[in-house]
Amino acid sequence: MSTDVVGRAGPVESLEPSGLGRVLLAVVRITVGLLWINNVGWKVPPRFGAGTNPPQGLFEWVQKPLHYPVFAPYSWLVEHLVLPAFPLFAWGVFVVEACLGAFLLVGLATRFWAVVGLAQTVVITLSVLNTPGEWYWAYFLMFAAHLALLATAAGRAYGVDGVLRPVWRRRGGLVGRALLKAS
Amino acid sequence: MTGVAGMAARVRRAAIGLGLGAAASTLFAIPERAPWRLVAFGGGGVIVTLVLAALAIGGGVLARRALVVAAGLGFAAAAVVQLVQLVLGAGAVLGQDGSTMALFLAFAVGLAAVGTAQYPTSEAAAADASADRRSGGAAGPAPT
Repeated sequence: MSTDVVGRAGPVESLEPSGLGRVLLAVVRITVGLLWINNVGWKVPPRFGAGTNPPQGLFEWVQKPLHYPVFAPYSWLVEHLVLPAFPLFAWGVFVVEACLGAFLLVGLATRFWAVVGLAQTVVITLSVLNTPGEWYWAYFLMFAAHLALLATAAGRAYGVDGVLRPVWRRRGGLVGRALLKAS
Repeated sequence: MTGVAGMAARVRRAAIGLGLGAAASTLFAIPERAPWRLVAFGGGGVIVTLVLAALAIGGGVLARRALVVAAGLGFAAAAVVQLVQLVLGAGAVLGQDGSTMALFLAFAVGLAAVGTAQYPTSEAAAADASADRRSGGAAGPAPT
């Protein structure tokens, strides 16, 4: 039997990206990185829109689940946990999204950051999915894009992961193994 | 090209690629508004990025790790300066918002990772290969 998987429905071709496929994967990764980088732009420290009337920026958007709930327990969490500690939460979002953009853009620890991107997409979706005027497919597409980066380990295609994985493999140890998993 | 020479060449190419990417990113300064103004550069940010990109490319071409690391540190410093400017509400010298900081951070981590990568020298690789031959083992990458 060849390397192809043979079942009742016939052989299944293995998925190995061609040269063009690798270029396209890199394009997807860089585009998703730029998505996060661009959206760091409207989150303005140190107040992130708090203290204005009406609220602006991140502070305004954090309150969307209270006005347009998507999932009641999440809205409760926002009201009782996030808003009372808004500065801490806002800095966390700022740092995580800046790192998402940075690491995905250059393709470093891409699988790890794809998982973080999925988690952040869940949070955003639970916050704004029912907000009037939002195009819900945008959030479903964000899920799809991060799943694609995770499934294909896209940092290995023209990313830093692809260059450094042999170094990490040779290095071994806890850090080396962690970086191999993350990439 | 394989082994240590291949690894060194890949790292050099990565530094050059990151430098070219950084230089290309300054094109985002041209559009005046969304959707194409993905990164809000200031005039100073463009100059700093082009200088540090040239440093990274030079480090890759000349095989000088110190230059690559210096470029990475330069981008890290630029990211910190941009963040401080944002927090203080100071002028937009390097960039106008956090997108510039995130872009600087990208090239900082990329160049630092590439510039500080620890791969064996030719002598160490030869010693490894010799040890493998003596032990009868076949050195190969571990499956991940």
